[in-house]
Amino acid sequence: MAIASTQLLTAEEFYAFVHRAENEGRHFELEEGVIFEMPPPGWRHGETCANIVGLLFLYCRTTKRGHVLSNDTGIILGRSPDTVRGPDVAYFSESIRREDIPEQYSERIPTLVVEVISPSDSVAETTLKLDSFLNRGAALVWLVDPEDRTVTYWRKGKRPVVAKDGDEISGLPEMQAFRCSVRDIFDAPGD
Amino acid sequence: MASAATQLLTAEEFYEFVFRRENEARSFELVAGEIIEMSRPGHVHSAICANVSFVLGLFVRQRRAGHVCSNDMGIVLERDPDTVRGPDVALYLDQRKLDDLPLKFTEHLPQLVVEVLSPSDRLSQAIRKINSYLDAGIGLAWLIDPEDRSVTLWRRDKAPVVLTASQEIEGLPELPGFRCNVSDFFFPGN
Repeated sequence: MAIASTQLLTAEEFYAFVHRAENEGRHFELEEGVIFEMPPPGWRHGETCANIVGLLFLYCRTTKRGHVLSNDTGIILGRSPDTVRGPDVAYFSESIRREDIPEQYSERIPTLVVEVISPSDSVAETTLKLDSFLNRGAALVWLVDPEDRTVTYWRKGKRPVVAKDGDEISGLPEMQAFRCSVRDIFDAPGD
Repeated sequence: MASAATQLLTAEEFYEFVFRRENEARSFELVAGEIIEMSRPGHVHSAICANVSFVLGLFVRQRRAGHVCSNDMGIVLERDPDTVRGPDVALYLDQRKLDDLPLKFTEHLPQLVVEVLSPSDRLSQAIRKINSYLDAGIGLAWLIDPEDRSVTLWRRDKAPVVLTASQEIEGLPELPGFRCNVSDFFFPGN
C-alpha cells in the first residue's frame, strides 16, 4: 500500500520517517521515492527466515568469510528517485569489520538476496523486485516458498530454476562450499 | 492434488483415464507419470483466456497460417516417464489444416503457450509449469497475472520480462508481425 506523500523522499528522509515514534513496529520500503507499507510476516515466514540465517551464518563461520543480515535491513538500490528495499535475508561474501558496519542504510549489494514469498505476492511485483537486486549486482536471489516448500534461484539474464523438497542446494559458483537440503530451510531445527 | 496410482501412467493410458465416464467434466494433467487433478477456473480466468485466444486468432487469420488451441488441450511434453500438460492457450504458426490435427493428445510443440494464473496458484508452481514447457522445447511462454494485470514473457535462455497494462507486446522474434496491447487481454477494462 502506497502512503500518500506530497513529494518524493530520499533514502535519508525515509530513514528518519521509519524511525519516528509513531512508526515503531511498522515496516516500510521506499520505491522510487514513494513509501510503501509492508504487512507484518506470519509465524511460518519468520521460522523460514531464521532457518536460512542459521544456515548462512554457519557457512560464514565455517569459511571464516562473509556476513549475514536479517530483519529487512534497508539496502539502497537506486538514487533520484531513491529506492530502499529490505530483503528478508542477505548474505555478503566479503567480510566486514565491526567499525565498517553502517549505522543507517547502505548501498552495499549482497551476494545473495533471500525473499520468502507470501501468498499475496504478485508475479509482476515479485519479478520486478528480484530483478532490481540482480540489476544492481546481486549474484543470486532465492525466492523461497514455505507453502510449496520450494526454493527458486534467480540469476541475472537467466531463467529461474525451482528446487523442490528433497533436492540439495550446492555447487553455487558464488558460494562454493555451501551445501544444504531444501528440507533444512523449511523444517524446524529441533524436528 | 496427486491421485493415488499404483504405477506410472503413459500418455496413452492417461488419455483413457481422462475419458472414463466418472472423470467427465474433471480436469487432469500427467506429470512424470503421475495424475494431478486441476481446479476448475473461475470467471475472470476464463474471460482472459478467451481474450488471448481472440487476439491470437486474429493474428493467425491475418497471416493466413496457424491456429489457436484453448481448453487445456493435452500436449505430451516428455516420455518415460510421461508428462502431459494442458496450457490455457497455445499458438501454432504452421500451415496444417483442421483435418491434419491429431484427435487425441498432441506431440507437436506450439510456438507459444499461455498460462493464466488463478487466485489459488502459487508463483513457484507456475514457474515449474512454465519451465516444463520451455525444457520440452517450446520457445515462448506467457504468464498472465489477472491480479496485477501483467504479462511475463518467458524464454528458455533468458530472464523473464514483465509487461504491465500500459505496455504493448510487439517485436517478438518468435511471432513476427504480431502486436497487441497488454490491456487487450483484460477486456472489458476501465
